[in-house]
Amino acid sequence: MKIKDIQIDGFGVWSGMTVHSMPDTMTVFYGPNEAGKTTLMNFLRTMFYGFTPDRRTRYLPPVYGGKPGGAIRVTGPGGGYEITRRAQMDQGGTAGALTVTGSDGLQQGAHRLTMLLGQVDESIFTNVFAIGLRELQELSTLDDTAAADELYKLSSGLDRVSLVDVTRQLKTGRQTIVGPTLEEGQMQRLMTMRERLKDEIDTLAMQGKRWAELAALRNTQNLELEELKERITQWELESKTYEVAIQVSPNWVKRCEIEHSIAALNARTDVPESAAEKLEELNAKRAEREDNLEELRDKRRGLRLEARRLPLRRGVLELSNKIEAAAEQTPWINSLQKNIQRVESQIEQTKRQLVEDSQRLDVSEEDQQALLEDRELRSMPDLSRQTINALAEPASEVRIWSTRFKQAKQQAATDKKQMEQLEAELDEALESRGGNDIDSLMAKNNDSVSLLRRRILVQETLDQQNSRREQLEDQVVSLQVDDALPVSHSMLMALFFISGGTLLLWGFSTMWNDPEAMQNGVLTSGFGVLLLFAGLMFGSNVERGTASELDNAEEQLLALKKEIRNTEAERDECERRLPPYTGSLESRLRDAQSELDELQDLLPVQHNYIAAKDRYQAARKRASQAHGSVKAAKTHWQTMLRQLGLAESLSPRNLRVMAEGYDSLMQTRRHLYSLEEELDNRKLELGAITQRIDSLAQQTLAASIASDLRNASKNRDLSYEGDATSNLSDADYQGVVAGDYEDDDVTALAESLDTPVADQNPGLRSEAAVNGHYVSVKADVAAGNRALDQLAKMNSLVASQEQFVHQKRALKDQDHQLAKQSAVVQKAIDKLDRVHSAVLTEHGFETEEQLVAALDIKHQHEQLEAQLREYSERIQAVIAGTVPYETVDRLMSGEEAEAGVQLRSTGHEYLETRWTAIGQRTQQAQERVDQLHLRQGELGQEMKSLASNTRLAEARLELSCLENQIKACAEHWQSLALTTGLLDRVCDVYEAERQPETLREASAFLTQLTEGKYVRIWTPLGKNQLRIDHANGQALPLEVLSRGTREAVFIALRLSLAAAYARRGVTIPLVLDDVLVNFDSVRAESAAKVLRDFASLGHQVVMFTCHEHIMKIFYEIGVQVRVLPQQGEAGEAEIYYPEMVAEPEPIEEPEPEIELDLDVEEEVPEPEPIKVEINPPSPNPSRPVRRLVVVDQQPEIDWLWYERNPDSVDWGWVEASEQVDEDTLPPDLWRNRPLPVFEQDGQM
Amino acid sequence: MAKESFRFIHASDFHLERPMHDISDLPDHLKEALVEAPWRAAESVFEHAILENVDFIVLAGDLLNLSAAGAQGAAFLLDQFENLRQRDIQVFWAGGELDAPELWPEPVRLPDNVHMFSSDEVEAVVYRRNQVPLATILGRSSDGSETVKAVEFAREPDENYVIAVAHGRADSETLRSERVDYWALGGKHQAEILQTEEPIIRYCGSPQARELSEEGAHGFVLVDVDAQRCIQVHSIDVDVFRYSEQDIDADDMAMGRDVRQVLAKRVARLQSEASGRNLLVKWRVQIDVENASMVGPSALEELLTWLRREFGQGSPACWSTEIEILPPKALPAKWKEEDTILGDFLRIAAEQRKEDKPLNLKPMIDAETPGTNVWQAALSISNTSSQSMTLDKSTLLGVDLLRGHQVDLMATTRRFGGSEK
Repeated sequence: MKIKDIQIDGFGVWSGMTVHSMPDTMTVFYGPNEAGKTTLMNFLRTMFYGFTPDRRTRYLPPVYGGKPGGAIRVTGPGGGYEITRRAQMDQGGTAGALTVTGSDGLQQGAHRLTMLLGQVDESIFTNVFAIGLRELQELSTLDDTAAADELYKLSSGLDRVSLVDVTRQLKTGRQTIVGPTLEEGQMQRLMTMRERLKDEIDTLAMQGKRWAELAALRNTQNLELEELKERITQWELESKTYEVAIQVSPNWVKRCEIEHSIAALNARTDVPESAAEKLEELNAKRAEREDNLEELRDKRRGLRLEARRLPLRRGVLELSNKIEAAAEQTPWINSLQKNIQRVESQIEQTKRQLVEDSQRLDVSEEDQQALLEDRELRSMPDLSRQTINALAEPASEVRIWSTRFKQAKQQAATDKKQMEQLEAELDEALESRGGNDIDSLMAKNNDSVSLLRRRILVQETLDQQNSRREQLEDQVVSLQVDDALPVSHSMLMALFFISGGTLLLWGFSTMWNDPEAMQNGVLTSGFGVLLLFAGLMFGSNVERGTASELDNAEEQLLALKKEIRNTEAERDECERRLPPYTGSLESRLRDAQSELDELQDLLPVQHNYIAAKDRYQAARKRASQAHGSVKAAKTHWQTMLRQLGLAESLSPRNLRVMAEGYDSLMQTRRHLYSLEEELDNRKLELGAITQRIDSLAQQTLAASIASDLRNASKNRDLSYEGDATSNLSDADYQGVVAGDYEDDDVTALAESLDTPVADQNPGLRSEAAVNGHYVSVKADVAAGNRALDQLAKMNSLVASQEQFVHQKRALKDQDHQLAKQSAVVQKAIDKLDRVHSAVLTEHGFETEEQLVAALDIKHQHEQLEAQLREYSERIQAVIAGTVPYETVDRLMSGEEAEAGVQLRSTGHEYLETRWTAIGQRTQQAQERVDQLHLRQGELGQEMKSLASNTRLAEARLELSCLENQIKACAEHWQSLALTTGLLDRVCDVYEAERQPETLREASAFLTQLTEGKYVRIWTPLGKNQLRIDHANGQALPLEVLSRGTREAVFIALRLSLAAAYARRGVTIPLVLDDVLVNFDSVRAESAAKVLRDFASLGHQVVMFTCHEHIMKIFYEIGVQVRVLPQQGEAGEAEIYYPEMVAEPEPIEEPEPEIELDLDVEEEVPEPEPIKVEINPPSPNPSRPVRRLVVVDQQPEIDWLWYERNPDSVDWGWVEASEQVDEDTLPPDLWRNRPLPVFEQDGQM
Repeated sequence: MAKESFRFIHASDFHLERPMHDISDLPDHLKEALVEAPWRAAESVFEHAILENVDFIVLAGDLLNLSAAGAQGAAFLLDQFENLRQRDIQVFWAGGELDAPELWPEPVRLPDNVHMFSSDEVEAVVYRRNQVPLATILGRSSDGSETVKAVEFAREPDENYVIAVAHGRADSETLRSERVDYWALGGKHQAEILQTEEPIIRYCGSPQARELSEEGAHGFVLVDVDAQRCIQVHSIDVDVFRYSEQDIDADDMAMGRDVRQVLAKRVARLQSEASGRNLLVKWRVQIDVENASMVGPSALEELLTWLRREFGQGSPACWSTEIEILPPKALPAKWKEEDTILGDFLRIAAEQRKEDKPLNLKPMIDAETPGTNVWQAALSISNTSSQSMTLDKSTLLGVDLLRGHQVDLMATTRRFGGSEK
C-alpha cells in the first residue's frame, strides 16, 4: 500500500490540510517544531486503525474546527482506494465511520482496509513501521545493558511484543513468588507461616492429650473416693462390733473354756448302746459254718488220687497230629508200589525190543550188550547225523549238475527247432521275390519308387508349361489383332477432337459474327485448339504402349518353348530308366510302395532267425560244460563213501535206509534209559516215605517211654507231699512204675522197629537211622509194607491215649463240683467276719473293748454341753441385733487366733485399743474424701477450660487457607515457568529460523549507514545480547558503541524488519519522525541516501523533520520535500523549493556538538586514487561546501536482498573527509577509526 | 404382629477435626462461622434428636479424630451424649477408621446410653421400650478394611426391625441379600442412596461439607418406622456453609450484557437454592478469548474483588473463593497460523500437548529456589492432569502476553497474606 493523497478535515491542529500526489518512494515533510508533524503521523495511524481513546482525547475535537476525521487515497493490490474515516463525537466507538471506496466507486468494508494493511495491527505498526524520535531518544538515555536489551528486542521483535520483555516479565513474576532471596519470596513467607501454624496446632493437639490425662486422673480419683466411702462405712461397722465385743467378753471367755473342755474330752457321742449285743450273735453263727467245710475237703482228695493213676502219655498225644498226617500217606505208598512194578515190566519189554533191532542191523553180541549197558559200540558203521551231513554235499553236487545237464540239453533242442522253422519261412519269402537277401531287394525297390515320383513331377511341370505357352500364344495373337486403337481409347480421342473442333468453330463464328465479342471468340477458339492437341497426344501415347506389350509377349513365348524342350528330355530319361510296365504311373508307384512295405515286414523274421541261432549255440555249450561237472561230482561222492568206510556202489537212497534203522535203535535205547531213571525216582520216593514213618515210629516209642517215666516220678513226688494232702500209698506208686497200665500197642510198635523195648536208647537208634539213610534211601515193596504196619500200630496207640484223656476229664469235673460247694461255705464264713468288723468299724473301733470304753466318755460330754448352752444364751442377749453375731464371732474367734493367750489374759484392753484405732482411721479417711472432692472440682474446671478452647479448629482452618495459598502460588509459579519454557522454545525457533535473515539485512543497512565501518549485527544463539562486528573483524558488544552508532543499528534493524514484512507481502509506508537528528551531517547524508535507496526499492517512506539541514540533505539527494502549511489554516503541504524557506526559523538543536561538527571546515588534500566530485551548490549560502568522495572499495553488502537503484549509480558512499577533525571528533566510536583517505594522504 | 412405632436418626462422618477447605482468603466476618461450621452442624444433629424425640441415634463412624480434634472434640461428644442420656435417647455408634473403639481413651468413660460396637465382630443390640423389643441394631466398628462385609451381618430372623450400622464401602447387591431392614452406612461425605426400597441402603453423608468436591446440601437422615413396619425417611439439612462450583460458559455469557450481570444472576439463584445458608463458590468462567479484553490475571482479580464486595459481605454471605478462566475448547485458528511469535508460541504449546511428555521444571526450580526437597515437591508438576491444566493456563497467559495486553502477573497471588512483609 502506498499513500497518494492526504486530506485532513479536522484532526488536532489540522483543519482542511491536504497533501496531493505523494510519490511512491520517499517524501520528507518539513515543518518547524509544533508544526503538527506528530499530529499528521497520528492522523495516518487514525486513518489506519481508528480513533483510539487516547487519540480521541488528544486530537478531538479539532482545535480549529472542521469535521473530525479525513481521508487518504492509497494505491494497493487491485487499484486505488479512498479511505475515509470520520469520528462521531457522541459515540465512543473506535472505528468511527469508515468507508473504503475503490477506484470504480464501489464502497467496500473494513476488511479491505485490513487487507491493505496486510493484517498488521496497530501495535506491530507502531513497533516496526513508525520510528519516532522518542524511541531513539529513549534509547539514548538508557544505560548500555538496557540499550542492548532494547536493540535485541527490536532484532527479535517482528511482532506486537518483545519476547525479551515477556520473558523478563515472567521471570520477575516468578521471583516475586519464590524470591531472589529466601526471605523475600512470597512462598517462603507463606511456608514460614505454615510451619508456625503447624507448631501451634501440635501444641494445641497436645491439649487434647492433657484433657485425656485429666479425665483419667478424675476417673482415678472417683474410684478412690468410692473406695474410701466404702471403707468408712466398713470401719464404722467394725467400731460398733468392737464395742459389743467388749461387753460380751467375760461370758465369751467362760464359754470358750467349756468349749475347750468339751474339745479336750473328745467324746464319742454317736456310739449306740445296742452294738455290743449284735457282736455276740455273729460269733455263734461262724463256728457252725467251719465244720461243713472240713467234710467237703476230704471228698476231693479221693478223686484226685484216682485221676493220677491213669497212664496218660503226653508225648504220644503231642505226636498224634504227625501220626495222623503220616497215616494220610498210605494211599500214596500203595500207588508208588504199583508204579514200581509197572516200570520194571516196561524195562524188560524195551530191552527185548532193543536186542531185536540190533539183530536186524547185524549188530554183534558184544555191541548188543553194550547197548543194554550204555557203553560205546565197537564195529557198527557210524551212521550218525554228522556222517550223513558230510555225505550230503557230494550227493547234492551230483544231483545239481545232473539236473543242469538235463536242462541244457532240453534248451538246445528247443532252440534248434525254432531256428529251423524261421529259416524255412525266410527262404520261402526270398524265393518268391527272386532275391538272395532282403537288403538288396529293399534297395532295388527304393530306387524304383523315387524314379516314379520324379517322373510324375516332370509330367506335372510339362503340363503347366504347355498351358502357359498356350496363354502367351493367345496374348500375341490378340496384340497383333489389336494393333489399331482400342475402342475405349478411340472414343475418348473422338471426344477430344469433336469438342475441340466444336469450340474452335464456335470461336471463329463468334469472332466473325460479333467483332465486339472478339475476345470471347479468341478464347473459345484457343480452348478448342488445346482440346484438339490433347486428343492427338493421347492417341500417339496409346499406340506406343500396344507395340511394346507385343514385343514382350513374343520374347516370353520363345523362352517358354525352350523350357518345355528341356522338360521333355528329362521325362524321356526317366522313362528309359524305369522298367517296362503297362499301367499308369500312379498304379506303378502304388505297387512299388506295397512291395517295399512287405519287405519291411520280413525284417523281424530275419532278426528272430539270427537270435534263435545264437541261443542254440549257447545251449549246446552249456550242456557240454554240465556233462563234465556231473562226472566230477560222481567221483567226489565215491571218494567220500570210501573215506567213511561204506561201499562205493552205495547209492544215496540205500544210505538213507540204513541211517533210518540206526536212528530207531538209538531211540529205543534212549527210551530204556528213561524208564530206568523213572524206576529209580519212584524207589527213592518210597524210600523217603518209609524212612519218615520209621523215624516217626521211633519218636512215638521214645515219647511213650519218657511219659511213663515222668508219670512215675510225679506220682512218687505226690506220695511224699504229706499225709494231709494225699493218701497215695507206696503200693500205688509201684503199680504205676511197674506198668500196671502198660498196653500191647507200645510193645508191638517196638517190635516193628526191630529193636528190643527194654533196650531203648534214643541216641544209638537215631545214629543207626542216619546211617541207614546214607546207605540207601531206596526201598522196595517189602519196606513199604513194613511202614504201613508201623502206621497202623501208632494209630492204635493214639486211640488208647485219647480214651484215658476222657476218663481223666470226668474225674476233674466231679472235683470241680465239690470245690464249688466248699467255696460257698467259705463265703458264708467270710461274710460273718465282715459283718463283725463292720459293726466295729461303723463306730470307729478296732476291738470290742474300745467300744465299751467309748460309751463311758459319752456320758461325761453330755453334761458339759448343757453348761455351754447356758453361756451362749447370755451372750446372745447382750448382742441382741446391734451387730451381726457372725461379725462378733469372727472378731472374737479371729482375735483369739490372732492374739492367742493374750486375749484371755488382756482381752478387754486389747479390744478397747483396737476400737480406738479404728475410730481414728475413719476420721482420716473422711478428711481424704473432702480433699478429693475439692480436687475433682479443680479438674473439672480445667477440663472445661480445655474443651472450650476453639483455637485448634481455628488454626486448622487457617492452615488449610495457607496451604491453598501456597498451592495457588506454586501453581502460578508453574504456569509462569512453563510459559517461560515455551517462550524459550519460541526463542530457539525464532533465533534459528527467522532472526538470521533479519539480522543479515540489518547488517547490510548498518554497513551503509556507517559507511562500511561496521559490517555485521548478530546475536549468540540463546543469549539476550547483540554483537556488532567491526570491519576489522572485532566483535563488539552494544554497550561499547556510541549513541549514534547504536541509533544506526536501531534504524538498520527497523529497515530490515520492514523489508522482511515486505517480502511477506505486507507493504506499509514507513513513517519516520526525525530519526536522523542525532546524526552528524556526514552520517545523516549517508542515512538519507540509505533511506532514499530503501524507498526506491518499493518501500514508501514518509519522514518528518523539523531540521532544515536534514530537510536539505534529503532535498539535495533528490528526495521530494513537502513543507507543512500553517496550523489552523486550510492549505496544502506543497513541494519544497529553496526559495520557500527564505527565513528559516532558528532551530534549537538538541545535540549542539553535531552542529559544531558541521561547522568545522578544514582543507584536506585530495588523495590521488580517490575521485572527488564537487556537490551541487547548496541552497544555503552559509553551508560549507561538501565534497563527495567516491570510495573505490565499497563495503560488502549482502546482495541477496539489496538492489541498488539504477537511477543513482552516480551516487557513491560518502565520506565527509573534509570535516573530520581529530580535535572535534564526536564521541562516536566509529570515528576513532583512521580513515583510509587520510592514510593515503599521509597525514595521519 | 403390630408393634409400636419408633424413630431414629442416622448420621455419620462429622469429621470434627477437619476444617473447611478450598478457601484461600479467610474473610474476617466469616471466620468464626467457618471455624464453627462443622461443630454447629454436628450439634444440630443432636439437637434434632431431642426436638424430634427420637428413640435412638445411629452413628456410622468417622465422627472425629481424637488426636487431631483436641480436647474440644471428645468433650463436645461427651456433652452431646450426656444430653441425650438425660432424655433417655440411646446412641449406637459404629466407629470408622478415625474413631475405632480402640482409639477412644480408656479412662474417658462414655455415658451409659452410648453403645459403641466392637471392631472384632458384629454385635447385636436389641432396643426395648418398656421392656418390649422394637428393633435390633447390628453393628460393627471398622477394623481397617475398606468394605462392609454383608455376610457378617447374617442372623436368624425375628420379629424386630433390623438396622445394620457399618462404615466403609458397600455393594448394594450383597447387602440386599441379608435380612436387614435398614442399612445405616457411613464413610462417604456425600449422601448416597444405594437402594430406596426395602432394605433401604443409605449413606447419610457428612452434616457439613468441607471442600468443593462435596457440593450441595448436607445433613442427616431421620427415619420413622410405624407399627406396620412401614418407614418414612427424611433427609434434614443442617449444613452451615454450602460449597458450589459454577461454570459460566459462552451460552451463559450470551444471556447477559456482561459477565458481572451473569454472575449476579447466578449468585441470586444460588442464594435462593441455599435457603439462607452461607455459600462458598468457585467460579469457572469461559470467556471469548478473541474478543474479550478481560482475560488477564488483574482483570480476574478485579472481578473477584467485585464479587466479594457485592455478595460476600451480607448475611447469609455468598463468598467467592476463586475465579478460574476455563480454557477455550479451541483458540482461534488464525492465531495459530500467524507468522508471529504468538503463532509460534501456540504451535509449540500444541506440540507440547501432543508430545505428552512430563514437564521438567527441575532446572528452573534449582536455579530459582534453594532446590531442596520441599521446594521440589511444592513446585514440581506431579501428575498428568495438573500438567495439562498448567499447560492450559500457560497457554492462556502466553496468549495474553503475546497479544500485547498489559498483564499484571502478580495479581493472582498478591492478595495472599504472605505477599506483604
